[in-house]
Amino acid sequence: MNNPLTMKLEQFAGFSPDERGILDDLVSKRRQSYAPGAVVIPEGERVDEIHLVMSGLAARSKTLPDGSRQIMAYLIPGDLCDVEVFVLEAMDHEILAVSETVCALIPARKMEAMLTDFSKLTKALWWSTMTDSAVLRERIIDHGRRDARERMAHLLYEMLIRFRMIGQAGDNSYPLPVTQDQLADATGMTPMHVNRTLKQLRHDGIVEFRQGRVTIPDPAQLKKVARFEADYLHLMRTDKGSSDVSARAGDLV
Amino acid sequence: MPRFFFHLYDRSGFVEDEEGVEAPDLEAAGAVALKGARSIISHDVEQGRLDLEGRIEVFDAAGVLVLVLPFREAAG
Repeated sequence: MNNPLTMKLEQFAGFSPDERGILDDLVSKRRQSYAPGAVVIPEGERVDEIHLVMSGLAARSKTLPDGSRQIMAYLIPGDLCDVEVFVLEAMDHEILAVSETVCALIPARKMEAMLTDFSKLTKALWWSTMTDSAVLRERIIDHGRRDARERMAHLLYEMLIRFRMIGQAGDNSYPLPVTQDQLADATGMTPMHVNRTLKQLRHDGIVEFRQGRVTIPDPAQLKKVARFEADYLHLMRTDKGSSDVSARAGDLV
Repeated sequence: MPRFFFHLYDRSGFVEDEEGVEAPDLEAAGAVALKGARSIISHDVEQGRLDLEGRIEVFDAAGVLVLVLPFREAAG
């Protein structure tokens, strides 16, 4: 199986066989599976292992005192759930498994050793963290400046690019086994509004949903509806047009 | 937790809720419907359209109609 962390990080830099070996070693230790709806890391938890999504789908989420919830980000294979706990004492939000999810548990000391010894990997990880923040910034823009249709289209197009980066969704189809409730939590909408928005996108032939998968028959059309600009994903190697890595999402950006 | 289905009738036509949303009881389901109706009405107002002719019909898991919420009541 391809290492999704390597696939994600190599958007920023090409790695030597040694560096690939280090990344493979990082994810080769403990694995843990989570059922849909399970809490991967609770809020307030002090973590000494870093959770990397290997398969499935997880969400970064916050539950308010009245029980309502906001999903700030979906985490797909190759995404680190809690790398910030190196610096921060405890998690200030929780990580939930949306579908059956497998995480590799990376011991913090192992990650620290890598960061000390391999500057290219450190820079790549830094790039990845900053890109994750840029994705979060888009959610702020969603709430401030995008209407329901644009917001939904933007999320679906962004997920398509992110799945492409890890070598999936070559057929413009990817797994999104979310409930309308979870999609409402991720877009700040109500389930009924989500339903109406998706119906319109389906009706216009822009997206299809079937058995927990999204298919995008015409990505260019979805991109237009979303008013999507890919700059914030900082796809360096795609911009440079070098290597097979750039080909993964080159047609989408 | 019981599951309720929130079918929407508005200017866009009929939007069937095939999946449903869990709610503890009918009162909570009513609150979900109210919030949904208001979110749709206010979004449409932002787009320059006021539609108070719509409604949300709530069905329980057995397919029984348990609540009708006219938009006019949600935003009156």
